[in-house]
Amino acid sequence: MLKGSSARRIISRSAVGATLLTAGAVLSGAGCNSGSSSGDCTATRTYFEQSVWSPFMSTQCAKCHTPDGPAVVASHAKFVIQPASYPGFIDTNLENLKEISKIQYEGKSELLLKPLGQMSHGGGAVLEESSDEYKALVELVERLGTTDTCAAAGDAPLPGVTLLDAPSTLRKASLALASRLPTTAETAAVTKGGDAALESALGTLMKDPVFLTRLREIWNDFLLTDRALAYGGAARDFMNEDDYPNVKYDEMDPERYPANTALAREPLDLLTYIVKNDKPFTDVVKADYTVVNPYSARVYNATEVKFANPTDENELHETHITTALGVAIPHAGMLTTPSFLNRWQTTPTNRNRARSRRVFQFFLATDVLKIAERPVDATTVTAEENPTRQSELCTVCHQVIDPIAGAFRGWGEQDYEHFDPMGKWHDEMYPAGFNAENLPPGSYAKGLSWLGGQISSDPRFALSAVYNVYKGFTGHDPLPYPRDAKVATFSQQLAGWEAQDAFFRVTAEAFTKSGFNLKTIVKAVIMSPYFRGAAGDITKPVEMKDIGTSRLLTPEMLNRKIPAVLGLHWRRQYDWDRERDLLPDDYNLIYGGINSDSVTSRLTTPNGIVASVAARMSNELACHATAWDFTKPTKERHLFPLVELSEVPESAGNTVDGSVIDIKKNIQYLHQLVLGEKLEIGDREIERTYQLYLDTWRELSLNGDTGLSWECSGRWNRLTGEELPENTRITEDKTFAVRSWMAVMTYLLSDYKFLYE
Amino acid sequence: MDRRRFLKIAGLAGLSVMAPLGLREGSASQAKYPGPYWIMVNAGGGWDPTITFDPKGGKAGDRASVNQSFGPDEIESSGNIPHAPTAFLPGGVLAASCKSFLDAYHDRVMVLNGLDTATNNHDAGSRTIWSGQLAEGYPSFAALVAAKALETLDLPMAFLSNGGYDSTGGLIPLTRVSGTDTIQRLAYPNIRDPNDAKSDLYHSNATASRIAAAQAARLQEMQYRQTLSSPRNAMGSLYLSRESNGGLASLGDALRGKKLVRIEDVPKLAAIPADSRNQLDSAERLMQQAQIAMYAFKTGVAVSANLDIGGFDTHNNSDEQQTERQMQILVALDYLYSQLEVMGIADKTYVMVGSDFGRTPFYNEENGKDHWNITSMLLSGPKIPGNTVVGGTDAEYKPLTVNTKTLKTDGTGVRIEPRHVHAELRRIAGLTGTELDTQFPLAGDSLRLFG
Repeated sequence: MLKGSSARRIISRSAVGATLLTAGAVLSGAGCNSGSSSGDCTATRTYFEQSVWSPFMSTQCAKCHTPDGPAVVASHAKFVIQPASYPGFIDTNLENLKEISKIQYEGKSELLLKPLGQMSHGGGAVLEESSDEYKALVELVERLGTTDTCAAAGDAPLPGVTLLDAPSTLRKASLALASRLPTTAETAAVTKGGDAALESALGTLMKDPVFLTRLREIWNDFLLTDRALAYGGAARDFMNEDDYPNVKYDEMDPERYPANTALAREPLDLLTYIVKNDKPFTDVVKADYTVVNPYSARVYNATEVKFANPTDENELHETHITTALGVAIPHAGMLTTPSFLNRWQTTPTNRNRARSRRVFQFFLATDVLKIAERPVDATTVTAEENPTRQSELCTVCHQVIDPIAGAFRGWGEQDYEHFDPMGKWHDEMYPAGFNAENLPPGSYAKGLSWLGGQISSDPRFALSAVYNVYKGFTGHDPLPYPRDAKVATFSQQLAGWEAQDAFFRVTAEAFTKSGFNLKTIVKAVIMSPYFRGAAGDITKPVEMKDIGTSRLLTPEMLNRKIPAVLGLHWRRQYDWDRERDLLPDDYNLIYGGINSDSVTSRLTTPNGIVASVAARMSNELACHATAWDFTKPTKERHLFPLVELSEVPESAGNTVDGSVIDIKKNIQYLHQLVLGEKLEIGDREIERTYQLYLDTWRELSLNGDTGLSWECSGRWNRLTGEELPENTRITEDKTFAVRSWMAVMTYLLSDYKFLYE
Repeated sequence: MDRRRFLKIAGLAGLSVMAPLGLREGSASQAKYPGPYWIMVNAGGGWDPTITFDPKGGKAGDRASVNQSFGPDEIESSGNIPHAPTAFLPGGVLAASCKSFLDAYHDRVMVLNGLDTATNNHDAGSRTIWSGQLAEGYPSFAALVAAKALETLDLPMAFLSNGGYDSTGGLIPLTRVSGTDTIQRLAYPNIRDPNDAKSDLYHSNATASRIAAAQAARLQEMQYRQTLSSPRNAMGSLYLSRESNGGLASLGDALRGKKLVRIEDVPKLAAIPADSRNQLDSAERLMQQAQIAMYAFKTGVAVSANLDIGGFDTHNNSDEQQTERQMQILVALDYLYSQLEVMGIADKTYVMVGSDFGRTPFYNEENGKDHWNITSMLLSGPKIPGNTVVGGTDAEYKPLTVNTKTLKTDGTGVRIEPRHVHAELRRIAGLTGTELDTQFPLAGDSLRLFG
């Protein structure tokens, strides 16, 4: 174990300051006797990041040694620094440094000679031997040559963060995972058993079909394969009828719609099948099978698959596809599904490079466009015969992009889901492969299968899954590494990033050890302060930027929350048979949703229109729900089980104490039901809501009009549209209580805690 | 702390917060925004100016040629602006051309040629064209100018976006809109049927106000008690969004009874046979985007709008596809300019048309054109001199430098870059030197492109 003398010295003099040490505690918790800010066991990784990377390597060395830097491009330097946009860049760079540090000249590491300008360093002398930076580098090289007993980073709780208790987390998780409220039994079990019981309850929630729907939404947010749902026929229309003659449907055949959905959703169905059956998530890129439901099985002529229910769109089975032309598809998870191949198309001149970019983005958490985010001038390379391999302006990206593009060998460049196992590749491009390994000739006819295996072995694959789940359930993008060490909040930003990075690494490691079971990540995210943080240190807003969720619910999530909480949908009050909800039908895009085609990013911040949608929703639902609920027997009511319409707050100017108590108890119940707030009866929020009720009741009673609008009256079963027996109907507001409760319901349904999670 | 100061601090802190509660009391009002208005038309995918407003004659059948659609001697001009000759669309409707467009509007249009985006990457190209900055993190100009207006006004939909580069840099929320009926319902959320003058209210106006007051008070207290920054910011955003939707009613009034424009509603296009109108679907969608934006401007609830049309990434059959796309965009621009006049806001509306980058001055084996970092923009507006071409390119479609004083193309000046355009846009928008301007600085010297 090395002592971190230099580390402490540099840190203490830098702007990083004490906050770094706070994050250091997170990073070096497990495996060390002392992981506190004052501890003397600093992991090499932490040391590198805080004393080498941030203070100087990310700026001075990165000028020339990034993949597009002159030292790498022109001089082919071994010392390649991955920028902060590269997932896991700290570990990748540290590993690279470890290898280079072993190269010695006259007993001294090359890593210590070149910065002094020795060994013909192209950049000359960049550090002085007496500088703190150089001393830090010396210590790093020493550390790299020894075993680091402080290396195990832990997911220690962030200091100063208060988590939601287990029952409150259960409610939040139930809505996030299954779009329902927890049952009484589930809540009781978690109240009694705490976090251990909570973890168990999460396992149950992840068996809910809505959980799989949620996963589809999360992945579709970037895969965007739902575009092929368009007009109920887009997915069928892109299928080649020579390969798949069964894709032809009679125009009146009602099965053409579920068939289209099955084809469009094939990549997402594969994902949910993998998760539901606890198969390794690596199958999303390497499965040697695909999944079909009864409708896609017909299109693919997968006659060997037998279905228990031939009309169940959710019954999925594994199969291997052979086209009508006799070509066996070399399955590689999502990558070889027609839906994926047609969503992310190529051209004969693009040659799968755009697809390569998407593979990096979707499965390796890498934005290849950031490899060389610097000005280029295509007008200077027109003289090159093959610029993508000859011009430095082009090679920096193409040497990364083209090998993966080559793995799409055999897949049609104009008929995208058509596969020709004898298909040729473009020899003038960089050879097909991944990282430094070329696609073996024996795999030419199954390049994507080979690629899937390579991708799933890359550490970035696990990180990518963690990032996706994290964003899906918190609404936050992973924090970027702070770019500018000169800004005043750099140290706070860095501390926040370090803590989150530690969480990601620990979670990715657990995911890998679990055999790539995605539920491992979901559990970790739900249990983390990023999901269940409830309070924090108000003096550290930057460090705690992403602690706790505060996401404006997506239209899909809000649309599921409404029936989960209210027991009825937000729909037009006619057309009862169509089951078409207003949020996905009328308000999807303006409430911030996507259409997977022209609108592909969600609004995360409400605007005036979003606020108006919420206002209309709360008004309409309050109108539909209130009188109807009162038509039911008291014990069967969902919203008003503790009060009667006959109970009014005042009589002849005097308070009716018994009624007021019941009204407040029902308000207390509604705060719990609608907002998840456990409030004492004397809480000021109960009082505020009661005052709203009371003032509305006074206004109405003073006015004296007992009319109740047709739409808001209790005449129908709001779930079926059936008329209620006349003797149970509520068509008048004789006591002014219906509209007073409507005001309360509007107030609660437009509350922050209903619209956000 | 005033709102402007708050925006600056929030931006510096990298926060996505819109404003804390209570900030706008006394500092902002729901008065109408009087203009100027800003429309950004994004031709997504990378258009080819060599067959439009930076015409390069070529040779049919020669893939090494800059273009194969017309020869050098066929180039035409309208006013001072050279343009491609009227294109031939095999089997298709020709509803507009460079000639028909410029013959009508050359007096108001500036063509900016030889614009160097310094990238051939779609995302970066779109970003630099609409923000002036190649790297990530800058708001689009449309967002920036809307943020400026929001310093003093509550506007429900200051920045309307239909796509393209619409990053707000965390300064403001952006808004998407759809049909006119939907806006009616949202403009009057307390009226059961806004199209029925006698429709019931859900709550009396007094009750609706009471609910709103209780909501605001509760939200304010929750935010005060909240110690985590993310929920605090989210609560602030919700508060502001509620506060800013009051102006929607005037937009609702303006749109009452209106339908989204269709091709057959435009007199110039009425002669197009019904079974051919679907060939102008893209133009129609662009017109509808423009229509909503113009009503939002007219009623003083919006400052800027992104309009978006795709399909310009023509890696195969480039000339044919570019010509067809060009027609769609020109049909929509014709509608936009004519309606700006009808609505009486032409003299205070700026229109910018641009694309990710340009296309190569040669063809690939699929008769397509790949990415090229040089492109053009069309600009118009009250402070932009019309009937003008600034910048240029040589016969190989490489950019000519311009003299920094005269703007004449010469061999000693500078290449025109998006940052130059944006510095000018900021200048005429009154943003130069403001805190927003310094928060997102544009590097380098300025070019007085707009005089």
